[in-house]
Order: sequence, then structure tokens, then C-alpha cells
Amino acid sequence: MGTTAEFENREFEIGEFLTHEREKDLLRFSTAGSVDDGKSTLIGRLLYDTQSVYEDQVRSIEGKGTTAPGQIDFALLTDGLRAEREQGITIDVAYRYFSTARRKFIIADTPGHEQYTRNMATGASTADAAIVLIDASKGVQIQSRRHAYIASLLRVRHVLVAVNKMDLIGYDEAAFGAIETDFRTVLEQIAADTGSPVEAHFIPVSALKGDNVVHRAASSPGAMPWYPGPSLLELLESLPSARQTHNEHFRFPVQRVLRPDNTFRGFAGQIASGTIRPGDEVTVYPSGRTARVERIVTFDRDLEAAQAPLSVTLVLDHELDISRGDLIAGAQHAPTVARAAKASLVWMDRRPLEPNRRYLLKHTSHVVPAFVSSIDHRVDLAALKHGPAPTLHMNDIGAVSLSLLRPIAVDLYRENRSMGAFILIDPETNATVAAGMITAAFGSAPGGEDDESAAWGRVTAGEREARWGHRGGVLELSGPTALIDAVERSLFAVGAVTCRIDGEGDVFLLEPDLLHAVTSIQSQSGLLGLVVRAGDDTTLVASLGGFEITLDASEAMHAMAAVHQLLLRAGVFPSTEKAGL
Amino acid sequence: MSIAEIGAEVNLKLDAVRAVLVREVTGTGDVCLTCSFQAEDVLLTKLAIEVEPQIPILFLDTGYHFAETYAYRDRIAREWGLNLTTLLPEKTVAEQEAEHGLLYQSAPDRCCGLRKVEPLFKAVAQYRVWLTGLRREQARSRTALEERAKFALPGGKQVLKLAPLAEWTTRDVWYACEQLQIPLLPLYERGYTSIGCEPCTTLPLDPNDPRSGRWGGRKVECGIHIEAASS
Repeated sequence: MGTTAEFENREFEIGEFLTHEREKDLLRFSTAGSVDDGKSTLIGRLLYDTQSVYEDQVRSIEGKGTTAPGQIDFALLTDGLRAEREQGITIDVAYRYFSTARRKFIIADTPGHEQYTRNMATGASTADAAIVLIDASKGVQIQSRRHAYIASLLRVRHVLVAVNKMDLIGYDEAAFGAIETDFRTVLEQIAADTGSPVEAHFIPVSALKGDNVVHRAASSPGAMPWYPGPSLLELLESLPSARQTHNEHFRFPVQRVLRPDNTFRGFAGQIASGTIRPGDEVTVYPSGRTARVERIVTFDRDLEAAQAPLSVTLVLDHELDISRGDLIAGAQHAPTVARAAKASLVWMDRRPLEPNRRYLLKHTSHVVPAFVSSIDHRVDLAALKHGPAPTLHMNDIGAVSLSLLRPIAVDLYRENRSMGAFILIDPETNATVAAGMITAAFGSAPGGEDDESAAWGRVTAGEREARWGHRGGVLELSGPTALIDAVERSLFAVGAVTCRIDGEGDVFLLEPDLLHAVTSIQSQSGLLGLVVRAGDDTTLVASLGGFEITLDASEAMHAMAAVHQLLLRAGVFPSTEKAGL
Repeated sequence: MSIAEIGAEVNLKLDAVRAVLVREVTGTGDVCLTCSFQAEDVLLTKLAIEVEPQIPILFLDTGYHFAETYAYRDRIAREWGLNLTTLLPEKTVAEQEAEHGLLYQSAPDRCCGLRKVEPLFKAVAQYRVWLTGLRREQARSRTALEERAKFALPGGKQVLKLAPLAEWTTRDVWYACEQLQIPLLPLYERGYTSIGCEPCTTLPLDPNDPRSGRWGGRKVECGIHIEAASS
């Protein structure tokens, strides 16, 4: 019966193991590096040296890649995501999990190097630490400044500066020291600007050789005996977990109202911050009504207390009208029910920010229409100064004023990370275009509560373009009438909103100024104005925005296609996919 | 946006491309530029020869191009003094058609494989850097295009593939060509938007089909811009 005993024994060990695993604390960190800084290699090395990679994964990449024969190209361990991206699958942030004897880790990682701000902003918003990579052979680049700035804005307390590729510079202590001095100055300037100092730790590493990533460099002879400090992993294991949500105020965004029958009505969601107990008084926003918590319901039992980040269902002592997106908060320390806000914004879309354009603002479980009413400044990362800017381009960081078309209950980001963070979504493409952190919130829209019309904003050129599918322009056509009719028909067929003015015998012929006035209105309204004149039978002349083409009228199909070409070239039609072989 | 504003924006973009070229084109002959003589490629060629007049320009001659394309290629090569290499498939058009029939009708992928992919990859493998005029908005398959990426050729060799015009729109290309007074392939004036082999290039527009503005075809990539599978 020894086998049974052995089995029971093992059962016990597994139970112990699972308990131990559960009790290990969790550290979330994000990574950021510029192109070719070796971010993939570093993560690959971290996973490999902590035995977090399966053998078949290692086998599948052995002998491939760009490293010397016999070495493993660790970047390939993380590059699977890149391949997925090339197939057109959009991945915003990929989370990787690994654990050591001391701690569990989640890495927020993003494929594609130009999306690094997305990585930082969406991945780091919940991170305890951020690893910023600097290529030792290149020194501190503008990207490194940007990464550090975003980490500071997001109030990530620990920044681990991994000075990589030390092997390429002969493990030069002086070069490492120079980068550290240089970057510490930058970090101080950033802290002065954002008001949020970070604790920086500098580690000289070679991700390729594995020095100071998991194992101290002392293990490989000759490499960096001058660095006495811990390896990157040792640092990650020893950092205090920064998530101290217990001293924040209670915030509970309602994700769902549960009504299985008429005896039960509960509000399900995840506690964003703070602690709640039955009997506590709460206020519901935006209505402002109050109630007491009667029960905290979970799957298997009711709780005596619950704290972030637990997901629970709350039952209140009396009926209130509450729906998804509402906020249940502790009666003390009320959030602001905001109609307007100031925020730091990290722009991450190829299309630049368009002030006064309608975006969707997603805050906790709530989505409301909003627009940027003004750009207060843009951060010049090279000089670390603020300057005026008409827009924010991809990877730009700035401060903006926002108008919300419906009020939402918010906290300032510096007081409560999850209640002060939001993202902006482009309603046309559904892409996440920016990550934001609220720095000030106002109860009324700019211009006062009674001036609600001001909050709706003027229709922008971008919105017109999105509606019509093209920009405004004036196309002048002169040639055989039948062909011009066919051209207009073909434009109409592809959805262009045309507005035709026949020149022949028209009032406009006598009033060129009037024609000009009308066509510029057409153009500004986003319509495709056609100014048409009958011409000779053999050629069609088409002109628009400074381009003019003369076409052979006998080849009708070619002539029509050429007019479409012209609209594409001049930027009136958006470029679309085409069948080019 | 006014014409002057567009012009100013395009000038900024031109400067950015010039900066990339100055940084990347070493003058040691290890950087090549593949040119189909379509607008974006010709624009990039013009900018590249400003930096390095003798940069190797590779033209893929499938034997099926429009007569206009050949004439235009010869004219530009002569006027600009290009260091032009014409890449030829293993078999001539006559040989291939005698052996396999009209592959572009029966098996266009195979035809592209034989006449484009094979000779091009073979040639590019001899260089360290491969410059292309690819743009993201040319096709859905190119939306994830990066300006700078490693590209694995069959056989495992990697080259650095650069697409300095990745962000450019059709409008940008035309304004830039207008500004730099670059004469363009006359086929554009006949309504073609993307010009390849004659049998596989059609007008993008059918006025009776409202969706023809979206120019979907049987396929959109010949294969020279698709990386060899890594497994």
C-alpha cells in the first residue's frame, strides 16, 4: 500500500505548493526600448534563464536567427507576436507571466517598436515598475527620455534602467557611469516637470550573454567585476510592491446590474480602490443618492469586508436607480462629477489629435463622448520644456482641456490611478488613440452649466470627411457632355457627394466671383463640387487643386479612371487598398 | 488644407526621407533599391541618387510589362544616369509559355513566383540593405509595414528592409513628384493606379459597380514583400 501513501504524500506536497504559489506576491512591470535596443532579447533571456520557457519552444528556435552558431537568438522567443501582427492581427499589449521562488511577475509587452508609447501607457498604468532599456553603444536617446517621462506621468515608482549591450563596449565601467550620470540628470528634470519623482536603479546588462539579467555577471569570467549590485531579476524580486490600494478611498464602478428574480438586486463590478464592509454608507454617482451596503456577495459566500482589486456584487439596503457605468463610492471623500477636465495625454495614433473632434472617452466601465477643447501645451522631450502646439502627433505627450458631453465621476490620477486614468477612442476606427491622466476636474462645462450648446462643438473637417468618405474639392471638367455625365455617374457610384454646376449659359458665367464663392462653400462643406463646361469632342480636360490632366475622350473607361486617379492624387479621395500585382 | 500647406507638409516629409537616406546609404555599394518605375519608386530613386548617384537600382523585368513601362524605364535611366540592373527570370516568356501555358491565367501565384519572387530574392540577397518605395496605404496587406525591419530571405539570410515612404499618402507622392518635377509613367494618365505586368493590371474602376472604388482583386501581393516563413 506504499503507493497510496506515496500518492497521499504527493497530494499534500501539491497542496502546499499551490498554497505557496498563491501567497507569493505579484509584481507587474512594463518594458520599453527603442528600435534594436534588445528588448525582445532581454525578455527572452529573462524567460529562458528563469526556466519559464518550454523545451519545445527552445527547440523550435535553435539554430535560427541572427546570433552566432551554437547560441540561441532569444529575441525569437518573443517574436512570435510580431509574426501575428504581420498577419494583420492587432495586439495592443501582450501579457507574459513567469514566476521565481520568491515572486510572480506579469510583463506587459508590445510587439512592434513604434507602438512603444502604447505599451507604456496601457501596460504601465497598472505597473509597479518599468524597465527602460538604453543601448550602451548609443547612449541616452530621445526615446529613453520619452519612456522615462511616461513612467513618471503614470506614477510608476520604480524605473529600472537596463543599460544593455555592455558586451559591445567591452564592459566599460566609465561608459556605464557616464550614461548613469547623464540619465539621472534627465530623470531629475522630468520629476521637476511632472511633480512625480521616480526611484531609478541602473544595471549594466548584456541580454545576449545573460550578464546581470538573471545571474550576476560575476558568473561569467571577466565581465563587469566592478558592478557589485544585484541582477535585474534580483532587483525585480526585491522591489516593494507599490500597490497600496488599502489607503485609497472606496470606488466601485458598476459593470453589471444583476436581477435574477424580484427578490435580489445586486451590482457587480471590480473594486477599483479602497475597502468596503456591510453597513458602510455609500453614494451613487452621478445621481448623488446615498444608501448603505447590506451584503457583499461572492460566488461561494458573503464577505465581511472586501478590498481592491476583488470582484464582488454589492446589495444595498434600499432600491436606487443604478445602471452600468455608474459609480458607487464611499460617502466620505466624494469624487468630482466632471463635465470638463484637464489631463496629461499620450497620443498614440497615426492620425494626429484633432481639437474639437468628437472622441469616445473610456473611463472605468463607462464610455462617454468627449472632445479636446484646447491643447494647453506639448512637452518638448529634447529640451524638457513646454511649448504651444496645434495638435499632438503619434508618441507626443501634452496637456489638454477636455469637455465631456455627459458627466462622469472621476478622481485625479495622482490621488487614484484607476479612477484618474482614461483612454480616448476614435469612433470611426475604434482604435485607441490616446491614454490620459486627469490632472484637474470641473463640475461644469467651460462657459457655465446653462451654456450646454457650447459643449457640443463645431462639426470639424475631419468629421465631414468621415461622413462623406472624401474631402471637399472643386473639380473642373471640360469636354464632351456624355463623357462628363459618365464621369459624374462613376463618382456618384463610388459614393462621392457631388454638387454639379453647369457653366453653359448659366448665371455663374456672368458672375465669376459668385462661382468662386459657391465653390469654396462646397469645398469647405466637404462636398465634391463639379464645374462643368461643354468642350470639344476629342479631349476631356480635368483640373483640381493645381493638377490638370488632358485625356483622350475616345477612351472613355481610361478617361474616367484617370479622373478618379486625379482625385486620389490631390488628396480628395482617401487612398484605398487596390489590386496591384 | 490649402495647396501651400500641403506643399509645406510634403517638404517636411521629403526632408525626413533625405535624412534617412543620408544615414543609411553608405556609398559602399551594399545598399540596393528595387524600382518598378511606379511613382513612389521613382520618387525614392530620385532622392537616393541625390545622396549616392551610383546606388544599385534593381528593376525586375518579368517580360510581361507594358511597352510604356519599358520606354519610361529607358528614358529615366538615361536622363538620370542610373546604375540600373535588370533582373531576369530563369526562363524567357516564350520558354515559360511553351512549357506551362499562360500561367498568369491558370496559376498567377506560380507565375509571380517564377518571374518575380525568385529572381528578386536572389538579387537582394547580395546586399545588406534593401530600399523600397512601399507605402502602408497601398494595400490592406501593407498596413503593418514598418519603416525599418529585418527581412528573412529563403535560405535564412536576413537583410535590413527600409521603406522610408511607409507613412506617405498617394497625395504626398504626387505633390512631391510635382515639386521635384519628376516626369511620371504615362500609364497613370490613362487611369491605372498600380502598375505591374500588363496581363494582370486592369483599370481599377467599373462605374456600374459601386464597390469598384475599393479595387479588390484576386490577390494583392505578388510575394516579393512577404517574408519567408520562419519554420
